[in-house]
Amino acid sequence: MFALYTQGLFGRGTYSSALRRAGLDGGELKAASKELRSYVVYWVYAALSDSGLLREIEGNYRRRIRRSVRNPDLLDAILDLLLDANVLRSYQEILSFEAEPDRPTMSTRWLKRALIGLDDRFERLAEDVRSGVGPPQDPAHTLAMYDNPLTLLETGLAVEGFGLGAGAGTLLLPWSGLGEYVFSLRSLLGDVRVMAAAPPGLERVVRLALRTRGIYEGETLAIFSARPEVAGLECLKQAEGTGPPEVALLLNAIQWSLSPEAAVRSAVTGVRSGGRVYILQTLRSRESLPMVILGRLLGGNLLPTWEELERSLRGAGVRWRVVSRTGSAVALEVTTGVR
Amino acid sequence: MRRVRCPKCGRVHEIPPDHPDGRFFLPCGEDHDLVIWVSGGMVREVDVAESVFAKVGFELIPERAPLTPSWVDMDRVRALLSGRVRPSSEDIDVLMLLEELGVVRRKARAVT
Repeated sequence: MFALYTQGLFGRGTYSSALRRAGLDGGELKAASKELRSYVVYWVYAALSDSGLLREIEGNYRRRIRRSVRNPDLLDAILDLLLDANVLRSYQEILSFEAEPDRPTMSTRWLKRALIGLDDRFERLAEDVRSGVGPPQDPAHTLAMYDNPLTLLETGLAVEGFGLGAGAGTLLLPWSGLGEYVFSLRSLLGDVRVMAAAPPGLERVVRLALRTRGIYEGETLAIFSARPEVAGLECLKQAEGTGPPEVALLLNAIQWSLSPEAAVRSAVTGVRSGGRVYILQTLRSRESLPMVILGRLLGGNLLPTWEELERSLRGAGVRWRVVSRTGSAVALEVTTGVR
Repeated sequence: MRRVRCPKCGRVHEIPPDHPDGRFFLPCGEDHDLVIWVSGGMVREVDVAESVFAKVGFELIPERAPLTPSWVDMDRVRALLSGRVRPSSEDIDVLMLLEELGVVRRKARAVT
């Protein structure tokens, strides 16, 4: 779903081709993006209203509310989303309530499926803003977020944009989208060898999600338990005998990592000397705010801004090259030689 | 395709050649499963065990049913849960996935 905001990445030709391969068209994506925004606006408003946080916001300064909460970045995302939707208004930096949002309607089938039952999780939003403690991950909701054509779009963009052919060698996936990126890579590249990290406690879900579609562990697939920030190191242990992978591919992995620096550094460590590390990342922007909030509700962290991502890359001590960048997404190649 | 004969009822099962190494179970008769150990591409051991499925059984959690992955055939799952069809090895994988996702639960757990 993070791929909703990758439009224009790698140029129009690559994007159109990835869209086609995913069985999507631009109009459908535009409609889905609009529907997702109105869904998130509605439920964010409902959650704030029910929790009393909306009353605290009304007539208050943003900077004052920011100081009183533990998750000011999430608060900013919420406020910006509601301001953009004209639910809130800001006059001389004082926030006021403007109008209730309309109840959302859904016509995009795969989006409707991905959002089923998520409205209940909005109840935790106000608590998250106040305490900074996000909700635990529910594998069914997380899988639903990846079990749609957008995952194939995202994977297709990475494959084409980074030039990953069937002969790319072994691929390391520090975050596998509960197996959905592996499935997409298989449909795009055939029997490419993949080493996929599964978050501890969810490796069984990843294995079963693939096995139930006839993809088994063996010569071309290894699944191991590791968070993104240690996936590279764990991969080295797993790859004893076969050698480390040639390529690490971080597909919207940063928000699932406790430390983006560590995730990048670990990916660099996990590939063989002269190997390549590619990052395709949706960024926190006004456009991607609905997924910023949903990602958090699913148990991840907020999407990084471009500045935050740059800081993480500098912190990881690596060199990088921007392959393509839009306001809401970036594609990077990290070179494995440290600075 | 490798063939395995059940030591209890004599049914013959086929194991795909690309089956990964390790122990896995295969539903066989009404009341028993086979526990098969594959190593180095060879079937090393075949044991008979009481059927977990027959003993435990699963039930659907209605409010979680919409979270079933898109590739899962819900009609087949309903038929399995009602006992209308015997589960294959692939069906057991599907039920285990649905259990992990909280879409089905074991009946025994539901009672306690």
